[in-house]
Amino acid sequence: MNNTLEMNDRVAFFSERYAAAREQIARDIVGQEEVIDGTLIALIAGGNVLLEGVPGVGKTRLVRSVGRTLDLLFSRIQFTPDLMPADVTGTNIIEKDEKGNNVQRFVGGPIFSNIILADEINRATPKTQSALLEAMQEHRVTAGGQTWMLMEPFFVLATQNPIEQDGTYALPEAQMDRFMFKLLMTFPSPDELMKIVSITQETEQERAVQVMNGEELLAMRETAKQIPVIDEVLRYAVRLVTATHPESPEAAETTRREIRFGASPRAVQALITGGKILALTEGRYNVSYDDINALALPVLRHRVKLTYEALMQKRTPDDVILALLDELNGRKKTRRA
Amino acid sequence: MNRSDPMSAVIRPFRTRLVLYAAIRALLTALTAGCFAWGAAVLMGKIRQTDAGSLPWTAAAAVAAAVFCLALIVFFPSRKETARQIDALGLKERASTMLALRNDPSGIAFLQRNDALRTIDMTGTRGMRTGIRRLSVILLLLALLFAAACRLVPAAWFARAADPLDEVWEQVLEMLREEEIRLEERGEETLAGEMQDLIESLEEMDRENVLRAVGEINGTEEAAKDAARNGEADRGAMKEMLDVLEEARRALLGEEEEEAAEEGEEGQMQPGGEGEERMPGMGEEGEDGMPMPQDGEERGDENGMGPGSGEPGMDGVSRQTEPVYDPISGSVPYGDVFSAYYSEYLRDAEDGEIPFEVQEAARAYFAGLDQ
Repeated sequence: MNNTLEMNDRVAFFSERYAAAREQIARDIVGQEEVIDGTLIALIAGGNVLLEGVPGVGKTRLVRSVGRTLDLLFSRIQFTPDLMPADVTGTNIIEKDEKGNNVQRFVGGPIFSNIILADEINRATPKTQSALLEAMQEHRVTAGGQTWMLMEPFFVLATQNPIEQDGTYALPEAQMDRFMFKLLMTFPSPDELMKIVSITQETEQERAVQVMNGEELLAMRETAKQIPVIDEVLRYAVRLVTATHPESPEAAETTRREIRFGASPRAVQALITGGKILALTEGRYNVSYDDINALALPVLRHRVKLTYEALMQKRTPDDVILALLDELNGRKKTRRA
Repeated sequence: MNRSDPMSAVIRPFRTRLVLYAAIRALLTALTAGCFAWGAAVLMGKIRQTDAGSLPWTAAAAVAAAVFCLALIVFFPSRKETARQIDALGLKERASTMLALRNDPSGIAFLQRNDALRTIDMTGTRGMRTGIRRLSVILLLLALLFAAACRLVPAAWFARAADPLDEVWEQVLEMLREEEIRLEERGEETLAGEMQDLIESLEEMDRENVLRAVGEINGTEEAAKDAARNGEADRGAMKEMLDVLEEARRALLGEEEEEAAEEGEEGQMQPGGEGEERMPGMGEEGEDGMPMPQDGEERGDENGMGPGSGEPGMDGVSRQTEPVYDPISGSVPYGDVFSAYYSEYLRDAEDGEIPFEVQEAARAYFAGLDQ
């Protein structure tokens, strides 16, 4: 019974803090509900997020707002072509000790923080982008032959611009795979735009206030992990990811025609982990097929590579994934969410 | 799952409804199968030209009952299926998870079960899918149509056309049986035995195989002659028997009408020639050295006359003869060939083998001959 009461309290705490964080972020970001939810789910799950949108839609503001909501260290790295790996991870400097001898000392870069905003990540060279790889996946940095553990929670929110591709370096697949979600920030509607203007006329500063700290975030993560997933739902998530592989026997017809490379096993992990948190945010204690379907786009859209034919027909990864979901669920056609 | 536990209590209305749907589906399937079985039994009776009696209803009831039981077993909802159907009402896998966690003592499982029970309790059974597929209904309609068609189709459609050959065979057998009785009455045991063997042989024989039957008759003739020669049978009785056998052979070969036509002819009969095609047992000489009756012989002699043409043999059996026209004299009676030539003309004209402009002249020619 104590176990149940404790779990009940933890779930109640989760719901309360999630709602509070969402409310605070919504004070700064008008609309973009799916992006806010996706960012918070990834934050709780311990995943990283790649935000893509045209300039001015609030990518950087969203990240700053998330940073303010959480009582966590926040760093911003503006990626540029001349940014070096050491500028991200830190470097060894030579300094005099008390006896006057030269000694090396590691000075951590901006990555030693809880929340990292990697702004316009595709403007940096692949070498610098790769400096983020180890940090994003293993939460540690190796510099000067020494390995430094990063702080927990650690969360990378990268942004990139889908236009202005001159002088940019597309992120390699290995690095893309390390992002739990890729969220698309769409242009706001006229009503949302009017609201944005009125808010920013009052103040340019973010208005979100801190509602939780790092420890609470980790506790929420632990709560979410407890959510059960029945075998059928787990099998469905596996089938969805397997179906993105054209060489797989379970590949869907859409896949064989339009997908060149499928999603990695990290996609299944992201679907299930994200599904658990999504279920909790909706007041459920179990993961459903709908949760998996809802997360299919942010989880898979940056993990599948389309064939030349699909690109020629101006098909986007979202189009292909929706067609895949329709095929798997025996539906005629799903409208784009 | 204990029937008294809250999980069972909450699920029971859904399960009851699913059982009802399963029964309806099983009933539909059974009705479909029953209709097909009934129609098939009725149709079989009509094809076999027998009165099916109560067989169609018995067959339909048996098949329907068996299919109903089988279908009910197949369609009967398991607990997992019940949970799945409840989830389909928009419960987002709450019921399935509850079922999977029913023995889990953890706190989250307890919360999940409570949440599921509360949500299911608020959900009505009204929106549940019946599981009756359109295909099942279409199949039932098809089965009903099939049964109705089988009932309404006239039995005459399946009646076999009377085969004239069957009638001939029956006549021949009857004729032989009567002769066998006569022979027995006369005390001709050997001949009666031979006749009985022949009858049995013909009764077992495929009625399409006329030539074989004729061969059997010829063999019996030889046996009868041997019996007479050996003194085992009276020659008069043997001759009567040979007459009957000859009549039977002619009937089988359909030569009565031909014979009747031949009887009108005088002379100009052709005997069998060498190299002619013979049927089993045919063409052999009788005891007096005269050729035995030979059916289907081809003309071989140049003069068209042969030994025994148109004459009875020693046994008094007349031989098959055909009119032959003397090519030397060139006298061909028009009356004999007119109908054949005219038929040929009509057939060719109908087949389009005679040019249209020639047809009129040909018709005038035949009209002139006819006069």
